[in-house]
Amino acid sequence: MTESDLNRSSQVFGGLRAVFFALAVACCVSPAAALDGLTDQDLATVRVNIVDLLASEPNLPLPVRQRQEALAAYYAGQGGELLWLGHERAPAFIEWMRSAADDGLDPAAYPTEQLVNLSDAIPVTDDRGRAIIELHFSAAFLEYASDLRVGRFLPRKVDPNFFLQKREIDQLAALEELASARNLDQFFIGWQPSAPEYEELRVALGDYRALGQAGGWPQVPMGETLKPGMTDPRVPMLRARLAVTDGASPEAPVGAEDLYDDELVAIVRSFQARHGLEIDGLVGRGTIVALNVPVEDRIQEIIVAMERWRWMPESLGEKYVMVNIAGFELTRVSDGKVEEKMAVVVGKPYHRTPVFSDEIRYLEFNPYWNVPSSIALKEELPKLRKNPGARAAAGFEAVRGDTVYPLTSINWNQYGPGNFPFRLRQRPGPNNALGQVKYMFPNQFNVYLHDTPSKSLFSRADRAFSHGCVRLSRPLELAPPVLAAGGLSGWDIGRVNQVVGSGQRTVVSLEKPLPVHITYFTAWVDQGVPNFRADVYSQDEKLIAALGGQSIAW
Amino acid sequence: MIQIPAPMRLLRATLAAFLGLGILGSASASTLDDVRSRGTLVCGISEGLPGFSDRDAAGAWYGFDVDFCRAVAAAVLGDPDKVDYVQLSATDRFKALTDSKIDLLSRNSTWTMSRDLDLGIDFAGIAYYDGQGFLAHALDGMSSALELLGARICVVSGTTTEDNAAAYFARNGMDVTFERFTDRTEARRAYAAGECDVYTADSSALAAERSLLEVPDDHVILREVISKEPLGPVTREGDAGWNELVRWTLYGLINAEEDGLTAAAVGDSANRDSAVALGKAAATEFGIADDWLAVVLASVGNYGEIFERNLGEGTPLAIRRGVNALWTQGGILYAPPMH
Repeated sequence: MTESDLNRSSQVFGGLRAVFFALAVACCVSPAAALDGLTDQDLATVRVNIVDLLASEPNLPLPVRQRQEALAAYYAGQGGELLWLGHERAPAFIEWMRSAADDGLDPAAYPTEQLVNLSDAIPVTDDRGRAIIELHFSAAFLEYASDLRVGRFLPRKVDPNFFLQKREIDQLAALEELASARNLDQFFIGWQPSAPEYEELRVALGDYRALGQAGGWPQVPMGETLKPGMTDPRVPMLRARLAVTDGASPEAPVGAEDLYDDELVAIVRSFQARHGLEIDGLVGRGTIVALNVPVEDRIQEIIVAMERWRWMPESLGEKYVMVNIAGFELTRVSDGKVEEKMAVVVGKPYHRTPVFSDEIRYLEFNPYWNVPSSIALKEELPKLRKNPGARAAAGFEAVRGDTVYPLTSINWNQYGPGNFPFRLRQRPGPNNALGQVKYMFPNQFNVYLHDTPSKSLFSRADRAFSHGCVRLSRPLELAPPVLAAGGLSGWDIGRVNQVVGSGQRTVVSLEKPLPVHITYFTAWVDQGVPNFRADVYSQDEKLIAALGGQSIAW
Repeated sequence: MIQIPAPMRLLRATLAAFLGLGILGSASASTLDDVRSRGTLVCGISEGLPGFSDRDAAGAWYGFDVDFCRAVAAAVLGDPDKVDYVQLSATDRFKALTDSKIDLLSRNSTWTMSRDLDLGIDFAGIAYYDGQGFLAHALDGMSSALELLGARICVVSGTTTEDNAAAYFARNGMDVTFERFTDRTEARRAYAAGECDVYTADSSALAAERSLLEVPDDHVILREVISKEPLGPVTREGDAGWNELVRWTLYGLINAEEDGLTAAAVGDSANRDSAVALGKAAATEFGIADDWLAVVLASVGNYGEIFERNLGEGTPLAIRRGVNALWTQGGILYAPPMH
């Protein structure tokens, strides 16, 4: 390779971009001229130009400069063959970008048509121009690969309650993987978030888009609550609505068109189940509201859920526990299989349970409840002033230094905000706020999983009541599998009950910490059935705005 | 001498009024009377900004700011053509007003507190919600300013533009570099030549710049708007009546859009009556024609028509209504009702 090969292009590089525009205007070459009819010799020349540009050209386009290191490492490295020029990957990638919506991404966010035009505008004799095309393609590819795999946003920018780290893709690995993949489709399918939940959502997205294109579903008017066996002129509309998404037969039994019959009741119940509503077969306000959410909103919920999956850690762990705040549910997963589901109570909207991933490190049976100082001052102190005996009877005591004081031995009127030298705690027992066990994953938010004496809340469909912690409906049943997964043997339910029965505070550390993921998903697919939940913390709203560029724009 | 926290503003206003009288050399009580007796409105506009104030092949002024001058002339004098235009630079514009060289300033001027309080002028309202944005090469595939890590940014120096952008990127923890130019032509050339990755200025100006590039479609305006630049017409301080007339002309244009009263619609007598009813209180207060708003609408159209004609997607600027849409259509354009 000689100096003159490197500089075969006659352009002064500083104005290369301007030259491109001029070419785009004066375009008169055959389509995709830059990509066709390249010999191996041509490609080798282009590659030398690429390596040279990356090493010494100060005026490279921004997307190339932003990825310069990885691009240089790839093109100058072993292999380092051109990925786009003269290769079927280029048109295939154009097609991928055009259908970015299938991945829940925004086709307008990628320079698709510009890349097409650019390819068309560079004459075959321009090695530097072709080198730039190759680099533009690779830069756009890395952007798409990153958006697809780890998402478009820093989660905390969208919502300060999302404490997930923005991950970054290994750009060099992506380029190398692409080079060795059979084709682009194979690469992207392997590159998208690996959780099966993501792929299920992707399929659901296609289905709901198709429903949207077919006109969505009809609305069901509000009115008196429909009860099984009732006759109501809205029944045909209900039937038509459920025929679109829930398999109701569009044909009513002749002569009983307005009858809310058993078959339809069963379908309403399954609709209620997949929307997290009270499963009572009654079509009241809540059910009608859920029925009437337009298909466009459901599509947005799916897109938002897909985006959140991109934020999840690459590997959730072989065995793990996952809490979905919006679903008020905990799942325990082992080797990709859901072993157990249980209702949970999560934080109220003003005491949100944060979204993060951590590891359960120990269990504490018969725990003390150490009253957080904010609750001690705001909620407990007034009660102590009024009737310390009642709080003592509920198991509370005061601790100062190493000394424990009975509540009745202190004049609580002497103390208040700024002058409260005590820690309050509640002894283990039937009234203890944390119940009989807590699952600890020490974190900055002071959030953990625990039992509760307030069992009645679990029967409610919406369960956002706590101060931020996650309350479990069947806390002791979770202990044996968690302890086993944590590398401890011999912990069956009998032994758990024995420890609890002792009434003694008992800490059991896991040998192997167990991953726990606190998540927020308002859409998922369960055994082929799309599920939707209310946006209890209004997190969807913010993410949808951010995806549309609105939280940062006007 | 005892030092008193002097009511400086009052003093300045008094001085300005005194000086104003001196310059006018007349006993004229108000700008409105001046305009009436002169028979023309003297309106200050920019020296040329595509979409806002520009000249056609025949040398006639047109644009968003120009149309507002025309609207006020139509309201006061019944004829939108009775305007004398005075081209003003950014530096001269407010002084031209306080020196009584113009009756009204309609020149993409941002309403700020210091201007309002210190310069002896009064803003009459917000005619256009502008803000600083970024112009980028479409080929680079950027849609958000948050993707601009490492970017070289073209900026015209001597304005708050660079400070705004520097603060924005510092806030987002992003390193960028600025390439400074003394005027827009230079900045545009450098941007087009690839010496910068993006060009930052007020969004309306960027739309104008974009229309001047060789292939406008090869350039995109990123979605972020990083500053508030409320643009509006300005009058001299101390003439509350004139300021009110200008304000309600602006609000009349906006309310007319909300009510669906267009230039064509007011040709119909029922709609004309609606426009007359809408403008009634102002007609009484200022002693202008009963049908002033109908005349304004017939002359220049309502706010939406002015916007579309000069700035809209059918023009080279191709600016979408965005925040400048009516509050009923997702924007923040909101005029008080006219009863």
